Amino acid sequence: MRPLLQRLLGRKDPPGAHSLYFSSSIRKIREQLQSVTFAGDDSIVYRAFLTAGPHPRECFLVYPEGMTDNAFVSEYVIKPLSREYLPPRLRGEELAAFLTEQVLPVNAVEERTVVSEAVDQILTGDAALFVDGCASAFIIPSKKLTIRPPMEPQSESVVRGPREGFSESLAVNITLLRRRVRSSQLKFSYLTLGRQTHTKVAISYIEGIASPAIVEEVRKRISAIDIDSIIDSGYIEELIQDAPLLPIKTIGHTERPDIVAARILEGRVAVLVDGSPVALTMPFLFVETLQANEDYFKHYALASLDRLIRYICLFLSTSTPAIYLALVAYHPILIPTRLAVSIAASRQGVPFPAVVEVFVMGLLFEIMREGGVRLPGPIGQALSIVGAIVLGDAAVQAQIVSAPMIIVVAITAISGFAVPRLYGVMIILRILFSLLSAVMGLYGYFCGVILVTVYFMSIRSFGVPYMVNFTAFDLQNIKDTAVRSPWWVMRLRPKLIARRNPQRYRKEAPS
Amino acid sequence: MRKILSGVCILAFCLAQTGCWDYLELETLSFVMAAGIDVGSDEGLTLTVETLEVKGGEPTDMSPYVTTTTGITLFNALRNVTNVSGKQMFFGHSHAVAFSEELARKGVGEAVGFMQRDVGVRTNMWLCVVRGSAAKDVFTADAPLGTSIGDYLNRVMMLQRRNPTFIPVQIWEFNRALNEVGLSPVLPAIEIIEIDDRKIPLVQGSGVFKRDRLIGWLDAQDSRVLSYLRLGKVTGVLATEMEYQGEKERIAAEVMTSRVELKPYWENDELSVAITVNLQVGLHELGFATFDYSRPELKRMAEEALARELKEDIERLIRTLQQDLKVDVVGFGALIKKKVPSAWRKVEKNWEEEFAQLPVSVRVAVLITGTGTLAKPLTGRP
Repeated sequence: MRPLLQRLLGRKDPPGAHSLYFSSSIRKIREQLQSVTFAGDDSIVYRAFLTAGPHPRECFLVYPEGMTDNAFVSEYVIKPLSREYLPPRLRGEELAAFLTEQVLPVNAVEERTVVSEAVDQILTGDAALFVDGCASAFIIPSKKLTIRPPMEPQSESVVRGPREGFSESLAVNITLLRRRVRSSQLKFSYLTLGRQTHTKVAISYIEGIASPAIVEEVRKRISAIDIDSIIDSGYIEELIQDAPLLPIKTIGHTERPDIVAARILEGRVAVLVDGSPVALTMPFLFVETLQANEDYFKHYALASLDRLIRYICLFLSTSTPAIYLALVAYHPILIPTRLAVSIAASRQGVPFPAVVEVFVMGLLFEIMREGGVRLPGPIGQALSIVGAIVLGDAAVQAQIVSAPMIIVVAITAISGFAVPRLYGVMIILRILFSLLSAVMGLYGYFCGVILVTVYFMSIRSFGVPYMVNFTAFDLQNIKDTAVRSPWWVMRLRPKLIARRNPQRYRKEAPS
Repeated sequence: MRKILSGVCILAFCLAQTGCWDYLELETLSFVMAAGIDVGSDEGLTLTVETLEVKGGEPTDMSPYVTTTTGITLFNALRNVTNVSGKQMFFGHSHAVAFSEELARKGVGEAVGFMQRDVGVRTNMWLCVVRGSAAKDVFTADAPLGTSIGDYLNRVMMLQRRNPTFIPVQIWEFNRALNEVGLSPVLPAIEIIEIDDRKIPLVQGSGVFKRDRLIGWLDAQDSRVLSYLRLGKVTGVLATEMEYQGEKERIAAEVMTSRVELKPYWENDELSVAITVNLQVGLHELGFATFDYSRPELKRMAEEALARELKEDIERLIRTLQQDLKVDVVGFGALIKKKVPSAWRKVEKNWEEEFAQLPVSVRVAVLITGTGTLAKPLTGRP
């Protein structure tokens, strides 16, 4: 029984634990908790008290400091119990029933006889009540966690659209999602991960739209994870994604409940992780990296324009340094005459070859970005001033870099920020293309583009081809790619993801 | 893995197939805008290159800079420029090459052959011959403000259809004409003229070549007509004089659409060529207070006057070519070869004499589709 239970719980008891079940003697229970289970932990509170009447009975409450609502416990557990008379003959199951049914005025009391289960509950912030003569713990749901309210996520702000973002509490996050999809078809199924952290993970999907094969695949991959801790959903993302070698996103992540709702309504599966405001969605396709939730809230023509700009930015951000390098160092014939002469003039006196310039400036920009990301606002401003003046102006004045190079870096950076979801992979591609350009000119650049395209085409995300919208011409699949078609045109859900229930928009109500 | 490996291999093999290239730094290049080739002393050549250089490091101040060197051959002279300027000459952006008359009379074949073969030179450069002076002088002439001579020549060539007083020829076109039977090459002529104390390299007229040697010149008017016949369309402005009931005035028309057809005939062992020109023009310039072209008979008269003028021009060009120069620059021979190969085989051997005797008939029809006025012409009378 014991090994099986351990395997089910996915962990071992702490060393020295000598009992699996609670004893009926309250002293033994207290001794076990205090000197074995929670030994050395001062943040656990033990509150002992007696019941009223001629035969006072020993009781005590165990809860972690700061996570439990003190007023609630005093008012609804200690107060009624300390005024209650418990006759000595009342023991065991009878006592448990009496307590839960008549004494404790709280909405849910759960009885736990296995020590480890009770400990898990205590660690979530619930109080556990022990009464002498009863070999079990009564779990009182009295969590009082300080939760960040659902604010607009800084990383994904919108001009138009809901301002709510996920917070760190799984319960709150589920609420946010359920409020958007008020359907009994919306399912959440829980898993617990992490040998030490016991993190609660919810797999969420809409039954009847999501493909059961994909849901099953997600569940299979997540339950195969055996790791000591899950601090953020990023752990899960990296452990279950396809093509994990390059930073190509084959799993989407977002802090916005509206995005998650929209995706699961397209038949995708979402994974929410307790303690992380970032939800994962899968399968994730390449087109999604260039989509934004706002695209669907505003006029489709404007949204399509934004989409096109993002595609252009993708090209610019990955290719500007490479193409600049190829043209300047290999094919000056392709630059308009006057521009070529003026580039040559501004390169006059610059001590480094164009290749070195490209890589040094690229590196400096990445340093500035990395340096600025985690800085608090006011210092971040100082950084951008230093960057703009020192790198932008002074470097050119001192003829350490040429002016066109600054423009190239600026174009690369700005267009990179327009497609934040691709940022990681764009850095890698930019370096790859620049290297190939440096060695072989435009020929090398195009070789790189071909190889990368072939690689992207070969990737699958949870069984769905990553580039499905671009490989074969399919009227249905291209409606939501480089342009965002109006809602009345996008009548069906994405084909490969939601094959079971394709109808999204109906012109008339079904008769 | 095998697939990836073979893919990489295929891409690597392509490297060997792509001709010459190399990493180069932009600032070590000198951008040649145009070049001039003269006959130098001691059987050699003199090469003049006009490059665009930046003064003082401010990228806005670009000005042309002329360097002259000599060499036994063109390639030799070109490498000698490098020693003078300290930079590699980059011909990728070069617009034009000018030959001096002296060199052109000796033959431009070697120079053009080199330019065709060399990797750095694009074969879409314009070629021209300098009439009456050295090619070097073109580059010391005054270019219009803010441009180099190379730029200026390029712009003039590009605008040829607005005022076709010459026929623009690129290196590849010249080579094709050299290799084609029954078509002699022409090159635009540059004359250095003085206007208000400024020396302007004016592009007008044509140098006529027999093989690669210059043998004579055509003036601007003849070159214009030659351009119509060779390019198969009439462009630019037609001007003539109108006479009606004792009154005269000059009119000018712009060509809207045109069709020029050259058709060879082979009848009773007699070769002949018929030239048919159909034009639709708009009258753009009328006399003051004389004729009202909204009247049909006057419009018809203007049409006839324009047609007569053009017909005479064409006939004069043909006469000049057949009697004075004796070269087939219009390409009648090539036309006959293509359309009537059986006849060509008979005349091929002594085409030069045959060309001089070739009967050419000309028909020109002009239709005025617009009078260029919404109301009657200005009369100056209330």
